[in-house]
Amino acid sequence: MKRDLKIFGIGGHNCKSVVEKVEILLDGELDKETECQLIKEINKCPSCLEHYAIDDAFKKFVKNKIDRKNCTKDLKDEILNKIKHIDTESEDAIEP
Amino acid sequence: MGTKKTKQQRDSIFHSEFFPHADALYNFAYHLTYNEEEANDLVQETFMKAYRFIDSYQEGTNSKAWLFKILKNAFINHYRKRAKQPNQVDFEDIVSHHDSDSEKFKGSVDLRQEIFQGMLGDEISNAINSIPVDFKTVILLCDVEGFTYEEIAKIVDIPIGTVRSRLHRARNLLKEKLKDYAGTLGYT
Repeated sequence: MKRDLKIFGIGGHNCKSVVEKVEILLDGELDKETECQLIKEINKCPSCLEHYAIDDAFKKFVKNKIDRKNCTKDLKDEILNKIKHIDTESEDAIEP
Repeated sequence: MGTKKTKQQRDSIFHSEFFPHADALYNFAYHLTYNEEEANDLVQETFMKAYRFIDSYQEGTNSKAWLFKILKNAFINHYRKRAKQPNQVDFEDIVSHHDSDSEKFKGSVDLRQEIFQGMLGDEISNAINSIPVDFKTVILLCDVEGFTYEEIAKIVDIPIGTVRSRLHRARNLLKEKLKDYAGTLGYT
């Protein structure tokens, strides 16, 4: 669900209001119109632009630098082997 | 609950929609537990449950979010059990409930962009592991796995507004940890 937020009050640029929405923008959760409006506001103000750059770098840093662990082949084989032998007829029907 | 599927239909869904997420599930389990054995158990349990209750899954819908929700619930149940045993991890230390989740925006941690340069994967992993699990969970789901706020809300069972505020607090906490790390490593 995209978040349609009224980001600016009457009377122009408000750094606090812009900065509050930067994370939501970077998370891709703003609707297109609000996104364009916010980008315009960010570009108007060096302080907001710096804040945006830091949050953008931070988000990319977390995604790219985290030590990603994969499922081992042994574990995959074990799961597939167990699945083969599951008797679903005898299971109780309970939601996971 | 959907209609009863045949063994062939179950196997087909399992292999085409569930099993391709094995690596992502393992990565999530590993970063929740920081223990390979526990991550193995959580992933196995998730796939077993998913297969057993496959009738309640609607084919072609969001299988990744469905599986992540099963894994997250299994993780919480494990830690509830462990908390009841002596000399085990205290559940309250792991799953912290922050009343201030819904608090308003309080600004961000002051951080310079250069702080990220030179930091290694181990350092970010250690920093993520040092924050409370509720916060770690939303960062892993949003920034590492790319789930939307709506998907995270369903996986974690919290309102979308809480996802947003929790992510903000989680990132601030993580930035503080990284800032401390950077200080001790001489990056600042």
